[in-house]
Amino acid sequence: MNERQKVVVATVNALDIPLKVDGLDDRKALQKAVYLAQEAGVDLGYPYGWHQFGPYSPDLAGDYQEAAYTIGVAGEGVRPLRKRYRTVLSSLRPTLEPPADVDLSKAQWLELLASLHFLRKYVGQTMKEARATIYRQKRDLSKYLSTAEERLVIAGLG
Amino acid sequence: MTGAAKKYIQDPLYGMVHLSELEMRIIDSQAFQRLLNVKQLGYAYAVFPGADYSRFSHCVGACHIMNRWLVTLERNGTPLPPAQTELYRLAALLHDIGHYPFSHATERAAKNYYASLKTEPEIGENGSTENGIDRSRFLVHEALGSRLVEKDEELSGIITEYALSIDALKRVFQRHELANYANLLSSDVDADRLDFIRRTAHHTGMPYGQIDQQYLITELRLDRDGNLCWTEKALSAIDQILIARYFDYQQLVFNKTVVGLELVLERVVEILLRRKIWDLSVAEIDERVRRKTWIAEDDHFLFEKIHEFEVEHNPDEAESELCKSILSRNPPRRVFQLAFTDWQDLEQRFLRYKSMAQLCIPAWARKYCIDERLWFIWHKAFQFTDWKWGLDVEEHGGEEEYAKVPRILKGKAGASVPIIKEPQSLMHSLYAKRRYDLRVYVVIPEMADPRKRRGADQLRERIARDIESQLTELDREVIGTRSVARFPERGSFMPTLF
Repeated sequence: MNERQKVVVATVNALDIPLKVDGLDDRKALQKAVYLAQEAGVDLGYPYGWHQFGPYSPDLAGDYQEAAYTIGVAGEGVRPLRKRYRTVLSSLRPTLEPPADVDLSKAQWLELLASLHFLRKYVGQTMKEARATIYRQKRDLSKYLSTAEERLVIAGLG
Repeated sequence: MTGAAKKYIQDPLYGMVHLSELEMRIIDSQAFQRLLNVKQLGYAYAVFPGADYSRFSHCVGACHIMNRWLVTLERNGTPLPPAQTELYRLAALLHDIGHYPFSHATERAAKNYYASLKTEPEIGENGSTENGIDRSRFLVHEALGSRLVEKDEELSGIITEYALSIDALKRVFQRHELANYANLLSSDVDADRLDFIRRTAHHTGMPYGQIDQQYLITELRLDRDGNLCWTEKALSAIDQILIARYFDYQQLVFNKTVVGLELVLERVVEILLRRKIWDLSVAEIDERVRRKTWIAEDDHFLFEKIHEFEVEHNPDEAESELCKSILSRNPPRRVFQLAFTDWQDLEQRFLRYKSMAQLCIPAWARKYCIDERLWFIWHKAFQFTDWKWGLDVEEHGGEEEYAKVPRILKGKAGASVPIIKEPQSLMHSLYAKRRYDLRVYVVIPEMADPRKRRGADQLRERIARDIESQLTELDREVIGTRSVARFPERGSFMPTLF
């Protein structure tokens, strides 16, 4: 693994996101978790664009794929992140768990959080427009928009 | 509008390229003029002398292609909204504005260096921050380009003078738009590729750029869902450009000497960053943009930095050899190659093989008394399309790269399908295939000295023989390829492609 891939591993470890790439939901969780980590202040330098499941980085996809396939080869380990980044991720981690009253998988919850945030910050939509976009494109997630909004605000990402 | 076509640039591919007043102002800006001295193909000109065209000419070409596509969409009754039209032309013109000197080699080095600052042991409280500024932040070239559009006083001034929104331009630039037009700028068949494949062939004399550009331009449509697509007439043209790209990469970009030189350059850049001789953190670049010194940081600048390092900063022996390798064109020698095509699902084993090969470097370094830093492992799993995951498209359907695969308009219903699902397309057979390559390179210092050349050649052959048996055995254990390319005999056996 190169240094960048190691940092991805350290980041998702700190967020308690499994480094699995076999299924679409596994990869979705990785994508959105790293996106939110970057927005929370652990900037790993991955550019994101809007795609079908919300913000997505092809660059990151290549890195977590290689990291997942090669981690542990001959005992190659990963150093932890610096303390200040670990602190940020520790604060973010609870936000990534779907609340008890939200009937979504973790991948879906992360997709909702990340999409809402991206639409507001980078696409430049108002809250009303963002809600309409999510209702149109991700209807199955839109029921929990208000909860997602609250959680983003609590996490300092609102 | 942004001014009627005021000027023309004579281009070797397209003849007269018409540019609006705004576009000419952008081209005349210092930030854009910098691209005259940033080569599209990095250090490839050291091997292919004609491969020295600039990102400047490529960006003008990409803008031209974008314009022709926009005209096609208008002609076919599906124009972009007027406000979007100029934004997309500008985004094509500016798409490479953020490229660092020697582009990809520099960017790879910087990505890894700045990532390492996030995990190095802390020294005191600050580590990689000074006065609260995070100096471990690094921007890849697309993000830097978007930032330059805003932070470069001259560029931002020009854009706002023509009443265009910088935020809107940045959204197009970075695929922050919701519309599907983003594929015009970034996808398997985009303005970037349509230009560079032909431009590279033109300048190098290589035959791989003979694409049917006319069809790729005139047959562009929007389907009933607003997806960009091509009519069935263009299906072969799409196959052709994707195949052309494959050969262009194999013959030029992945040429053994080009790759070797780029690997060394990447390592040298990393040394410059670690020694703080060069700083590419966001905070520093912002400052250099503000002071207008960033515009001088082109390919020549990097060579000067390497020379400065060699002369003034006491490089150790290995560092000095790396610098000489670049400055005197003494490329590292390839001592092992594994190359084959196979299914995508072999990728995991291939990457594990690569990792295990890398672990052999310290032992090789000791055995042949060549510093570890002079050894390189290069690997690639080349894809014909951006589609990355799984053989079963239905199972993995909706994956993001799927959206960038070219689509074919079907019949009169107005729907389109991705080309990889079109049975008469070559991509239908090839999308799940990969071309796997792994090479081992080493800088043999004596190679540069004619008096020591014979001994160096013998050393190289000895290394190649030893490594081949070791890595071939590893290949059998980890990958289990059916055939292995042998090196360095002439008339080497190569496996058939399909």
